[in-house]
Amino acid sequence: MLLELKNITKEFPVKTGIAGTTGRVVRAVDRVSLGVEEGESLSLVGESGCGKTTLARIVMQLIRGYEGQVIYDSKPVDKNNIASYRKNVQMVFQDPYSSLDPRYTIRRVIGEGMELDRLRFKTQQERELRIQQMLKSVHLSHDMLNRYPHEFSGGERQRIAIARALVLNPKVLILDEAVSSLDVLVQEEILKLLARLQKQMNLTYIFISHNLKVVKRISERVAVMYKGRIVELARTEDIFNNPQHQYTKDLLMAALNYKSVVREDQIKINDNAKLFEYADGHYVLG
Amino acid sequence: MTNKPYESMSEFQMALRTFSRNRVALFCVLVLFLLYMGAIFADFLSPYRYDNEDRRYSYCPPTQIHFFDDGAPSWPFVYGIDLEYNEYHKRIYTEDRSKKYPVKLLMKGDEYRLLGFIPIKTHLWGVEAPGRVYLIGADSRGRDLWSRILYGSRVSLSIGLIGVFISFTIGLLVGGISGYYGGRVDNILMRIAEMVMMVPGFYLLLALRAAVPPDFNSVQVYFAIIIILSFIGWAGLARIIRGMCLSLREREFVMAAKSIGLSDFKIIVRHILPHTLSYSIFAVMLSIPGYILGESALSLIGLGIQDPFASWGNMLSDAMSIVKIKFYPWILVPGFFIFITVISFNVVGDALRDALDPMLKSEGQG
Ligand SMILES: Nc1ncnc2c1ncn2[C@@H]1O[C@H](COP(=O)(O)OP(=O)(O)OP(=O)(O)O)[C@@H](O)[C@H]1O
Ligand SMILES: [Mg+2]
Repeated sequence: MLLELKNITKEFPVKTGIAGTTGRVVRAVDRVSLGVEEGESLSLVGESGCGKTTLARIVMQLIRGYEGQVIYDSKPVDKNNIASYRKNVQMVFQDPYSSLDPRYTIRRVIGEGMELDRLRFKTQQERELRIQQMLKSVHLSHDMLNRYPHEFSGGERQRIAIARALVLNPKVLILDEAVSSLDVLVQEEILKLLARLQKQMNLTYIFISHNLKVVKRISERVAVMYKGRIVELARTEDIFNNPQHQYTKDLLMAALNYKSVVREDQIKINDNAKLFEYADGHYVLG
Repeated sequence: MTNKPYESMSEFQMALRTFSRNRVALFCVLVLFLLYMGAIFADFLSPYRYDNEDRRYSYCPPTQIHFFDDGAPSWPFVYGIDLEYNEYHKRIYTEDRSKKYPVKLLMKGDEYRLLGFIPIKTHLWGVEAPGRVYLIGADSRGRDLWSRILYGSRVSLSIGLIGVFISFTIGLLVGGISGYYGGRVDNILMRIAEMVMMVPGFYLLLALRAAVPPDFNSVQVYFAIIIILSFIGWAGLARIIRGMCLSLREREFVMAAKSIGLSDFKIIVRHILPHTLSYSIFAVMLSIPGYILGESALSLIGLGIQDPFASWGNMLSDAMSIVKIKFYPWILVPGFFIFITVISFNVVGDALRDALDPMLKSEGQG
């Protein structure tokens, strides 16, 4: 296992108006355990608000105060090895319109990604060369370097964000709804680009989405998330052809037929339920 | 994707472009520029030093500069001034036509240090002693009001800038830290800010001034006033910056900066505070008048800059009697300078707000 999550739980205090906190909490992520193999791409699907972004931010160590462990290369991630962890694990964010600082030119955006490892690209020329190289690998021309994010389309911005994340050659890339805000044709381009980059750089993807069609194309395994918990985890074809959990079935139905909406009241999850191995590599919560 | 004229312009550059189309605002920028140049070169531009007095000419009215001699055009000159008393013992100044003093350019007069270093005596213009020229009149001690306005602008105009600089540095840092970290740090800092804001500004000003030792010299008083005014000014800004940072830290580019391992300090300075800049810029412009007026108010009631040093506020303190204003209306001129300075800063600030508006909106603070 390259990257492993052990029993991750994250609770947010519920804020009520001006009076502050009431002591009540909402569990955004609930006892999530997952492992990602080197070179694979694992998808995380689930409806809006089920905790996907929160989980991604925990993996990326952007949120503090969670329970459980993030283990990279058999070592738990902590304060001392966080810098080297970040060299290996990077993230592309959900909203390409807010993930690039509007005051930064593209050169600075990508260049800033290199600050984590000053020893690798020492001179100005080396850095410039690397920036140009990255731009080329995401199919953008180098005359865009001096421009500002607001001059680019959503698809182009997402490519820039990918270039920034990959500039230090990480092993794992977390893509949080990286194509969701783009129209279908642009989605297609980005997905192709991601597939090509994965081969070229031997990347491991954690691909977060609520769109099952996209997931089907890019991932080898799928984890289905519901109300903070993983309810089913299996190879992509098993999820699509042989879904076991009621929520997965509903989600597939909803993807095929827009009229059928996932109905909350029908899905009950026992709080003590655990993932059990239904078939080889196919886990279901029950 | 891009249209040529806007190519590679940051939002900031676009805002500048919008601003430069506002004629009134540009005019006010020019006015402010002239005022500040006047302050920098006050000693060169003024015919006399701020403390060059001659009691014989107390409240002498503006000296007429003549361009015609007996109907024929001539090099500008002034006549000597004669002093008489009328039946009510009131001073009456008349021109003494027997004495003529030509206006001299680059005249040698009181010694001063140009830009603070170079000791020279050359003034842009003036008349040779014993002649005296009062462009807009004299004050009670016969000092040239015009020269004192120029010298006074140094105090009045610089207090605004330095005060704003200090209180904005504090306000930005406190607001930035408070908003970025949130939680308990935020709570403590904001309660302090609220305490400062709760007390009405002018009482706070007086209370703090009372805490300053009475035997301070003018330079010390000057800095004391700046510190007092900044102490009052930072809180409001800190609260607003904090609100902005609170929403900015949730933005994904801040998350992205974190995930590439930037330190908190770098994130605040590089990715959070710059986004409060568009607000800060016009807030600065709109708050400078407060400092200028604050200094004037203190000096007006005699708690600020002390005679013989000049500031627009303490020059006005002479104009607190209606009788003096009736007989010597020129002593109100410093008030006019305060007025145009304050108006100019306000116009420029408003224009900046308009120009930066798209940016504020795009940052979700519109
Ligand atoms: N900072 C926070 N404070 C309080 N509650 C939060 C916070 N962040 C997330 N939550 C809550 O946690 C839950 C999960 O949110 P999260 O953003 O992880 O969902 P998501 O699956 O990414 O949804 P989407 O598909 O809409 O992006 C939501 O109920 C949300 O309200
Ligand atoms: Mg999300």
